[in-house]
Amino acid sequence: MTDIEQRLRAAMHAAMDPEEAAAEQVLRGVYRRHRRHSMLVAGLAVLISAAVAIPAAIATRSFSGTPAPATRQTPAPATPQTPAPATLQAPPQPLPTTMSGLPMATRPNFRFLISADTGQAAWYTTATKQTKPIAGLLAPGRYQRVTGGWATALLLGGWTCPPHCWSTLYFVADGATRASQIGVGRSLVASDRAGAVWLLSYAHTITSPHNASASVQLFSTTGHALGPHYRLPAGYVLVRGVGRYLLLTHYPPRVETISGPVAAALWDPRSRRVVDTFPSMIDAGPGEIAWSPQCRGCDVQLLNVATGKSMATPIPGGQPMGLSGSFSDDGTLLVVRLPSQQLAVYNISSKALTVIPGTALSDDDWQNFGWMNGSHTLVVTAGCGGNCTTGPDGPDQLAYWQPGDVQLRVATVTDLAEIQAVQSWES
Amino acid sequence: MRIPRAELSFEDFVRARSSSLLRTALLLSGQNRAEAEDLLQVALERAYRHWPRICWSEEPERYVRRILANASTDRWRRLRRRPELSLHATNTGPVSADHSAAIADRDYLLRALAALPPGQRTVLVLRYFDDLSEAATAQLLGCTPGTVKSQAARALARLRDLEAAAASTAPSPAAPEVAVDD
Repeated sequence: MTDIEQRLRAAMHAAMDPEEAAAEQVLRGVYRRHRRHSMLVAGLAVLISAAVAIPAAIATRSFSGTPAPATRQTPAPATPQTPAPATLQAPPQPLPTTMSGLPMATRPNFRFLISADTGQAAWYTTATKQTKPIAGLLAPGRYQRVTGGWATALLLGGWTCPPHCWSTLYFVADGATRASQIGVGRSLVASDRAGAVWLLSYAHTITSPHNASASVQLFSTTGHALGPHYRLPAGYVLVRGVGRYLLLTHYPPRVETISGPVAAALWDPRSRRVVDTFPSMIDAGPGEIAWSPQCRGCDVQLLNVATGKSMATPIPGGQPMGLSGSFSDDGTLLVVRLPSQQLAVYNISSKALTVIPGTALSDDDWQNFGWMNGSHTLVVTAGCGGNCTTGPDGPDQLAYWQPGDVQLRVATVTDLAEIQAVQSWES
Repeated sequence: MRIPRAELSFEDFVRARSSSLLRTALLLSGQNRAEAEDLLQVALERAYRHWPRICWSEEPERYVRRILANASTDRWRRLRRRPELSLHATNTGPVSADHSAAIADRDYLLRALAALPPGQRTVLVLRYFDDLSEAATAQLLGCTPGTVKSQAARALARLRDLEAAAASTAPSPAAPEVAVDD
């Protein structure tokens, strides 16, 4: 070790070793931050009121169940489909602290799924500011979007409970006031069609998912088995069903997948073969997978699993940390946060990329986004992080965007219940 | 340090490792304690979201350090107009003989570290403070060992250059600077 290496090491340890963190204070800060994201409300479901009805021009894309060649065709070299120059330009620096757009003339009829720590869940309606309880849920759970509603696993043994601790798995249809019990197992994940979910479970003898094989089975959202059991490759878990394949990822995730690109594999349960892999997956819809090649300057690719064809999008990819994004339930719209921090929506049917102005925020301000109830209304929520200048919690913003809109519709949220719902929105 | 997996709750992990993580965060943030605490909370909150998966890993702390390093890089990347860091706050160069000068030398090195590009700084902190090998650093940062090696070499060369520049411009003991302020 050279002199400067030794001196640097000594300097760092001499200066830092006496430093201590107040663990309880850190925990409080972490939980406060997390509450803003997901603890009080595990998911958001929104029905669009007549005033904000989805433009009929956005046609839903039908997904044929026709079996198709499994192998993805080699994606074309990243051909920059140059969008309009202005659309991908970086926003002004430094980034603003609030979203900007047109004011909401009338508050849309958003419907949030709220879950309290007691396990009670309810729908909160922004138009009436009233809650409607959801019956049949007995313990706190984490909600996950599946086609047509929300799935939750009531982990009675807690997060650290081994996989063999079975949980009761429920489905809450959008707007329903009673949850339906699907079965028992570890988790429910989305399938490629409405009215069906995949149920994942482990054998009773499994105490660690490392190198263990999970079992999956397709169930209807009313709790009836729709197909045979499939045993996944050891060490993998199911992300979701895509077409007639299953999208898998490592369990536990590799280091690089925690906060960076997600590595995933497309697996054919009938032949038990991996038919494709994605080093940097962004999101998957019912029949398509958005992924980014690991090369500088490459564009995001979209694989249609039914045809096996991959096409380049105008979304700049090749980001070392990966992109975050989300498909609408029908898989026709993909929202992505660009490297410039702006949100952009890619319409798979028209192949148009729309950068939504006013969505880039500074790093100190949190922001979540997702499709309302899987619809074509994009909801974005934002608030100041730990650096509010207007008070401990500062203002929160609720915004939405629909295809055809030129700008966001933005409102400042002041109602306490609505603040809780907005703060807890998780894409 | 490894915590027995069966007993590992998120709270236990934070209680056991938050001080160590804070020290790393302090170095990554240029010794700004407020920023370091903020960075630590951001990283731990992200880890909390994934805790059901992380807690099953053999080394949860490795995951959290990875998140911390990434969060730090993200933060610095977005702070476009961060102020230049002065290396001459004490008018003291890095080379001196007595004890106070050693402290000044240490202080100088840390300020020089804080002035490095975030990627290089992260590599130095992981290599020489967290005592990770080149391979482990590369795995944690998601790059090749060769990249770690070259980043570290560049960073150390930069530190040497800064030292040399400071030594050449430091005031001579025989001709101390005259205070012009009253």
